[in-house]
Amino acid sequence: MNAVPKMQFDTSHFDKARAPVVSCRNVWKVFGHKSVVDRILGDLLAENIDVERARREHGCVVAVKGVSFDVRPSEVFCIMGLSGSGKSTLIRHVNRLIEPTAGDILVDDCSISALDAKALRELRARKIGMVFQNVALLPHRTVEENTYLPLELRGETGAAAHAAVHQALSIVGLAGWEDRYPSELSGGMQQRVGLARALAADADILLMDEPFSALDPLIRKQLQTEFRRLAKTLGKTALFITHDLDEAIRIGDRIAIMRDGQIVQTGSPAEIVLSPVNDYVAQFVEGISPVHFVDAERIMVPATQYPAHAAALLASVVPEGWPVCERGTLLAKLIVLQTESDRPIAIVDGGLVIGVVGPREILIAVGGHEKR
Amino acid sequence: MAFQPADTATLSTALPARRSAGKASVLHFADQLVGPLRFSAQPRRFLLLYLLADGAAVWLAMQELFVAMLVVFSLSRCTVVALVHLAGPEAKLRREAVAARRPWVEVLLYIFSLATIVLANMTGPIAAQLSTFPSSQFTRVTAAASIDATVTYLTVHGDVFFRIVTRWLLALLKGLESVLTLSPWPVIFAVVGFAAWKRGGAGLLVLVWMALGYLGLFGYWSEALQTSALVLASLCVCVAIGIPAGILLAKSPASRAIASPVLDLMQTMPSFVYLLPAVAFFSIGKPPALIATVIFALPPLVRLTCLGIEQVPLHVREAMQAHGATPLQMLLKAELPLALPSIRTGINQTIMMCLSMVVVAALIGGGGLGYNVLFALQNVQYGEGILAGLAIVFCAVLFDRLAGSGRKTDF
Repeated sequence: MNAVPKMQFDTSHFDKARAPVVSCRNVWKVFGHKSVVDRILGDLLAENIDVERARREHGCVVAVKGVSFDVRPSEVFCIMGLSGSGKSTLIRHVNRLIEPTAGDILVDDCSISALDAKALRELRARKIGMVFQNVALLPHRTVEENTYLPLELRGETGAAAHAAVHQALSIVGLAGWEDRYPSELSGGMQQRVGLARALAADADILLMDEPFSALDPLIRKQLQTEFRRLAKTLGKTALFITHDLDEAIRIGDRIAIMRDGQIVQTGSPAEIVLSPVNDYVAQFVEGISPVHFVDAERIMVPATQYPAHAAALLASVVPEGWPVCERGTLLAKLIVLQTESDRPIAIVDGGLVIGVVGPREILIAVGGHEKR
Repeated sequence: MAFQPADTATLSTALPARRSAGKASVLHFADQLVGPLRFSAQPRRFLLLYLLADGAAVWLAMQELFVAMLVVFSLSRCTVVALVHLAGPEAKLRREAVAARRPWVEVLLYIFSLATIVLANMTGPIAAQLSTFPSSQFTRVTAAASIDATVTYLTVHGDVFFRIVTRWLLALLKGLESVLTLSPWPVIFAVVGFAAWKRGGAGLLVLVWMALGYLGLFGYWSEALQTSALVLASLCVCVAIGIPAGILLAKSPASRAIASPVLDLMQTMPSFVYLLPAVAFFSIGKPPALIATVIFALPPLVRLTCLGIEQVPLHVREAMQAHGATPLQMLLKAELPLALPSIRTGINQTIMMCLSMVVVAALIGGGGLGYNVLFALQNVQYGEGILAGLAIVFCAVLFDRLAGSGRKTDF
């Protein structure tokens, strides 16, 4: 069986060279009595005590266990995990709603644990917006007043602020609903207000704490698509928490899978689905169809290794009757092409043939397993 | 209760060896007969029953009422046996019995109680000491005298302070009273009627006009205005103190630990007890009546304000924080508005409690409708008394319906 070589992933939609916007460095969060936590923290970090023992013998709950990750500019970074995996605790570290027990969080290369109360408020008000699972709108305020809240909190009044509010509301499609109260809106619309509130502040970073989890599937899908489009057009960096792998795949540029307070695997949706690092991740991706996010480059056999027509391919001559497509073509398209032709598909990049995709590669990819 | 063989087997293996000899039951009749002295084999929750019954039995025996003693004793044992058999699954009882394996505190308490009952019913100096608590007249008199001295000291040395407070309270009262008494009755009918109509429509309008009509027709008009002024003035003071206090209590657990017993004291201490010192400080008339009313009516407002702020959902607080709210912004823009229904209920409670104090306040010259009730009672005029009482009820109805009990929420 041919070994499939390690592939390059298409990362052109974010700039790798620039420094990460949010960076977690070995973050730990231990809940428990302060003196006890202080006492056992050293042992925990040195792994002399495991999580189970910390809970049983010391009554401390380790919610986040040495998590590190970087979120690059304009990237949508999903953290996916089941309830109790520590993902909601983790995201609250980024704007310091929760203080880390150990480790550091950098926002724009600046450690936020060093900030005083005023600077922290400033950071929250200008730099980091947040959207909550239960929306958390103020029930006594109208949609407009709720959206206006972050601007009001940082003391901005006047025409510019109101223009920002109206713009945010029209971006999320709520123009004309300004004077309604949250209780008059459906769940989906309330969450749009939550999003508008975060957008009105014009923060570069959006923290999304399971924003769509409580919505019904149709609305959820619609909002996911819209959110992704918004984040990309506005160039926001987003940290998106979810317990739904489908959602993570639909929204995220990269996904981190969390379990028991640790990150198990980080990678692009294709990486996660096609090469899960362990059985836990494999379990999640079992039912996920790869056809919409796996591209030709990832599954092709390189031209050099294609036995039958190696010479011709290397000379970038496409054999008679072979369909041709670009390296970024998605699996769904390849399947259609393959059903229309009985020849393998040549994958080209700027006029050069770089590989071949045949029925076998497509079937392996649809099967969801790269290596067998 | 018939156990399946399998159950019997598991039970007997879990029990001590001597118990498993042929019997599955944890609670033997013999154990229940002996009572707490065999507590290691039965649940401790029968202690109080045993104590009461055996105490009575011992006392009856001391009185040489042996038949009664036997009746009480056997009744108590029958009760325990009945309770045990009604108690449900044996496994539960067995768990309790196992938890009570070393019940020495209970056994000691039982022996001590019975022994003391025996001793107290014998003759001699020990019995005399046991049957009455050794009280000390001296301690009480000294304590009372020192309180008297404190009150006197404060009256003399705090004179300036009390006079200033009195003046402010009087100004507030007089202001409210003159606003009310200077308005001609048609104006009051119109204004109150309008407020009622806005709040509850035509039905409420009719109700408040009937109440006002009663007060006017039966000649309680000016007294009702005086009472209303007193209630409103007390309410002002209560709101001025109660809402900030409630906020403080919600924010600081330490202050809550201190304030909670104080609030209980304010509500349960009979008002007559502090009416006299109030008179000593503020002299006779309306100010001490107002103070006494405030002391009585303040606690619900403080408690409900505190409760309302505590009930603000965590996610709302988080959202405010996440958008960079200062503590003051958090309070003004989220906590207080969300606590408003609860605060309104508190204000309503406070008004009702103020009204319930008007008769007491009349004792020290608070005047108003309370005085009518008091006068009727002193002259044994039942009819007058009941009519004046009804006038107070109608005042309460007016306040309750108009001041808003939070029945109608805005969101």
